[in-house]
Amino acid sequence: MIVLNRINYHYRQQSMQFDLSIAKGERVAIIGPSGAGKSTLLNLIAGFIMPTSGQIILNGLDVTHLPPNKRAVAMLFQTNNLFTHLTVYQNMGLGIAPSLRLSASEKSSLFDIADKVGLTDYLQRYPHQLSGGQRQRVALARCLLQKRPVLLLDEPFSSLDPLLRLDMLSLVEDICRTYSLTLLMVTHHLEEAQRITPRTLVIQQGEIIADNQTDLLINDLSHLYTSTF
Amino acid sequence: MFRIILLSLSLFFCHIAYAESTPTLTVYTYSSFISDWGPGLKIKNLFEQQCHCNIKFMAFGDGVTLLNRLKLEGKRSKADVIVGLDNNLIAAANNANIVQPHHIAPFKNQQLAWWNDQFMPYDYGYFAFIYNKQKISHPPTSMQQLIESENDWKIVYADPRTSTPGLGLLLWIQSIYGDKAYQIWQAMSKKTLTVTKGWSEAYSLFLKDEADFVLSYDTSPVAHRLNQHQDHYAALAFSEGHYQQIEVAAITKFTQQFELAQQFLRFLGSQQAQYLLAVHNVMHPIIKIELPAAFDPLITVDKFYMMKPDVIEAHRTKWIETWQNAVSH
Amino acid sequence: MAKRSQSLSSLLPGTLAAVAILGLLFSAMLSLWLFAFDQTDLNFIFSPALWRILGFTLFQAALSTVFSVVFALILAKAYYPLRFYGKALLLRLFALTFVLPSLVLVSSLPSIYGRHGGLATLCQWFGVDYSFSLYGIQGIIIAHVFYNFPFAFRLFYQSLAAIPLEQRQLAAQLGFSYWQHVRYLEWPVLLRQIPSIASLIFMLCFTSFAVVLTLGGGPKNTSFEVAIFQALRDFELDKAVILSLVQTLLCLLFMVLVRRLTPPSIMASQVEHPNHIGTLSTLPTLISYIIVGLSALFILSPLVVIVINGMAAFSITLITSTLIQAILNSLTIAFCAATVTLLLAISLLWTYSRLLVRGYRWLSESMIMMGSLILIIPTMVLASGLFLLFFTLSNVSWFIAILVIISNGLATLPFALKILEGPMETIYQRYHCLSQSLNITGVNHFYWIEVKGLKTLFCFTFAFACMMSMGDFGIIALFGQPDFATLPYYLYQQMGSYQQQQADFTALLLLMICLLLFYLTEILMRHYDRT
Repeated sequence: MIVLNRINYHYRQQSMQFDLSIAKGERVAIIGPSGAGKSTLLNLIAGFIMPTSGQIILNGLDVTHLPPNKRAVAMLFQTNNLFTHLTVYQNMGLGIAPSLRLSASEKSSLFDIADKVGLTDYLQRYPHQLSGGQRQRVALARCLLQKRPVLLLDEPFSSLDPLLRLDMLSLVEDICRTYSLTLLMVTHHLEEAQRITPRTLVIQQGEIIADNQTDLLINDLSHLYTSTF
Repeated sequence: MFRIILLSLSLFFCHIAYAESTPTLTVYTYSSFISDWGPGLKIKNLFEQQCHCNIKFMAFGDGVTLLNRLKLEGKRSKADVIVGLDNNLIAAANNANIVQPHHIAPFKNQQLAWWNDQFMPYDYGYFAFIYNKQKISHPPTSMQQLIESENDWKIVYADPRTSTPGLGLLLWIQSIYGDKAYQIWQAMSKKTLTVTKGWSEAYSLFLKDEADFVLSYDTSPVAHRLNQHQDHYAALAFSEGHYQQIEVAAITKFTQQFELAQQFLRFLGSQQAQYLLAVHNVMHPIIKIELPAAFDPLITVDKFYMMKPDVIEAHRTKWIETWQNAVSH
Repeated sequence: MAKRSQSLSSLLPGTLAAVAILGLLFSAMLSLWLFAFDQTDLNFIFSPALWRILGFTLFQAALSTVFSVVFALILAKAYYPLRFYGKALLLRLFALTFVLPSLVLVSSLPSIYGRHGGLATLCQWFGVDYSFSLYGIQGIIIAHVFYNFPFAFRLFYQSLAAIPLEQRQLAAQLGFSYWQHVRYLEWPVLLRQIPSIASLIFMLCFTSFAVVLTLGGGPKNTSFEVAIFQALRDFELDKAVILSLVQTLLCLLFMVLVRRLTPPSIMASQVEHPNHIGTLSTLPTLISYIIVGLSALFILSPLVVIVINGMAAFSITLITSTLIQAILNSLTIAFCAATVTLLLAISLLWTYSRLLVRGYRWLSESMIMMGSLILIIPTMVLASGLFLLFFTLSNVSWFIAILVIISNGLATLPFALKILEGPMETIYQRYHCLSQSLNITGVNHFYWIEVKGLKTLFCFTFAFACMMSMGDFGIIALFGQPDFATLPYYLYQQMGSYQQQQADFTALLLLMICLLLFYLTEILMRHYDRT
């Protein structure tokens, strides 16, 4: 589903190389120390930055030179996921159509998803009237409405309390299963990885230094972490 | 039914034909001439009744702006008549080659002893300093007295470079003092409050009591008597004499309607127009007519100056420089 | 941020706007140039007097700018944390100084600072000798500061209000003292604004004409624009064009230098946080109130004089049909001009923000500079050039109306750009990744993001542009159509016809209409406000 073929990226003093292959429906976590290049990897896949060389293939299509809106990905950023001057309904609706002109069936799928994430009562509120968790749910709902086969999450739940985090994780897993989405999630919480992503990539200093089943890596990780930082 | 349509159509065409047959006279003038309080619109109404024509006024700033607009237009100008140049601008207008002789003879009963074949006078005035009678009980009676006085008097006048009255003051001082102008300007600068962009700013400062004397026209007090029924203001009568300003009208070289233009110019010299000019332009009429009581207490000007146009053209820049240098210390 | 391929929709609006503006100004100047050199031989020399004039102009402009900016900074800092009834109203009133025609200003300032003005009378009561002369460089500076410091203050105040809540919370938590607040929190934000505001004010003061001439006291204190005006009046067109070019080049150079000095902006929140955290201790609060009081006195006193004089001059006979027509004309022209301004500003800033995010700093800056060009070309020169360019249409009423609207629109453009620059860039920068991933581009982007997000600011800019256009009669003088009397034109006619007292009433009307405009937009803005 996602193939990065000898991707090279140079930015200022940083140099990164990525080679990876993720199958359809897989759920993969990306972990690593700060500044290692995790967000960069996501940005490359999403299309916000261009690699110096190499190929990015999404769903069999070479998207290396395509702009973000032409790639089959939906992304949840670390910040600024919502338009603060628009309502929840409008924020979600923009995931369906950038003109916000929705057909009847589109509207009903919006209400469905809103229900699924538990936001039906909040549709007319503005982001600043919602809690952190609710805002992330809106953003997640919008990602779903985009109906893209690949979902990229960049530390989406880091500011939420543990209980809420678990809820959201279950929701994500549920959604990925239901809609057969390919998931790539950057996280700092190993238990998150353990919970919903069977596969984990470890990135350090711009390179993938480990790529294995999550369970297997967990034992080595403490060793990896302590030895390198 | 058909006959009614035919009738109304023919009436309609007659009306159009009539409207098109009323000629339009384009008159270029300066903006205060056709303001609500100026003489222009009233003169236009009177004339249109007589001539069965249409007058179209175009107003541009002041006299100098008017002239410059004509120069910019050159041969392509649509102006028929120019109203609002003055005697100081005649040379420049001649150089620009835009007017033709008007072939009008001097009026009977004329009280102005000046005439020009190309530029017909329609009103005139003398530059004079205005003061508030209630504030100053012993006004100076000569330019010398004004400048040398020991009182803490403040004068305000407009810049000769940017305003017509300002230029008038320059020419006045030159006429009286000739080569000694430099020293006079120096002495005056000690009493000068400020030099403003135009007459309006200067007069406004005077009315606010910022300055004791403002350079304006000898007829200015008339305006206050007529409009505000106030008699506070009077002009200073100088023994050295005053500088005369004559406002002129002319027919352009490019007009297609010489006769109509001539008719208009003659009309400016008529009793009715002269009255309107005197009262609304606040200047002296060129013919002797009955004037309202407001005109009575005017100063009598026995001696006056008027420089020849080419003399002005030749020396103006130098005189302005003299003034600038004298006043900038 | 790495550079990316440009999309047409990003570049098109700004480029079109810039080309239109440049085209108009350039062709006007060119036509005047061609006419001038057709007429006379080039015999123009730079006399020493001219250098002296240039020196003085630079000097008074620099001094006025420094005073305006410093006072604006002090007031912005003092004003921000205070809470008092009428705070918003005062903010609105301050903006009115831009609407006053210079003629009204130079007549009302002496009522306060003049020989027999308010201050002089006050001193008399206390037996103090009032020897202050308004006429000289001090008068010029007072007038310039009066004009410009409110605008600068408003912009500084806006940037202070845009400091993110989190930073203020952090500062409160760290126990910042008053001066630490300034040093770490506020000064960096203000510093970023200073160069561009200063350059705008500098150019306004450099090209200021009537104020310098009337309050300067004499030809010793003359501005460069007077020399240009004089050249035009003497019909020395070649001299006028060359001097205008010198002025343009100088100002452009200055603009470029200043933009060079501006540090790149950092994202600030575009939402104003009126609830600031923590209160000041007594002494700073007291001083702040004193500063606000003095500033209010300084700005409002001439306005109050105008109001009093205006009311005293009132009589029902003053409401003539010409006056009403002038008001209607002014309003129509103002609305249309403000629309032009807003369209041009948004187009330029649209391209500007997109270029800036992609790293094309110089190209984006040039968009802003295009918008400010009209400030440095003297109005009379522009009018003459336009007149020659469009000679055949120069007597056609509707064409002149369009020209007046466009020139008024261009004249207020630099200010609209200044107000909208930061917010438009911020909102684009904040959301461009998100909108790209959602495929929100072009018209959709404009509607859902710029319009919805900056509605209140757009309203304010529109009102501001309307207001500035009301007080300006621009190029009408040379085009001479009496059907277009606007309110300021009517006022000038009054003052030139011994109707000074009646003119006071017209000035009052002008002020009142502008205030009304502001109130109307405020109601509109409140209607749109999302909270």
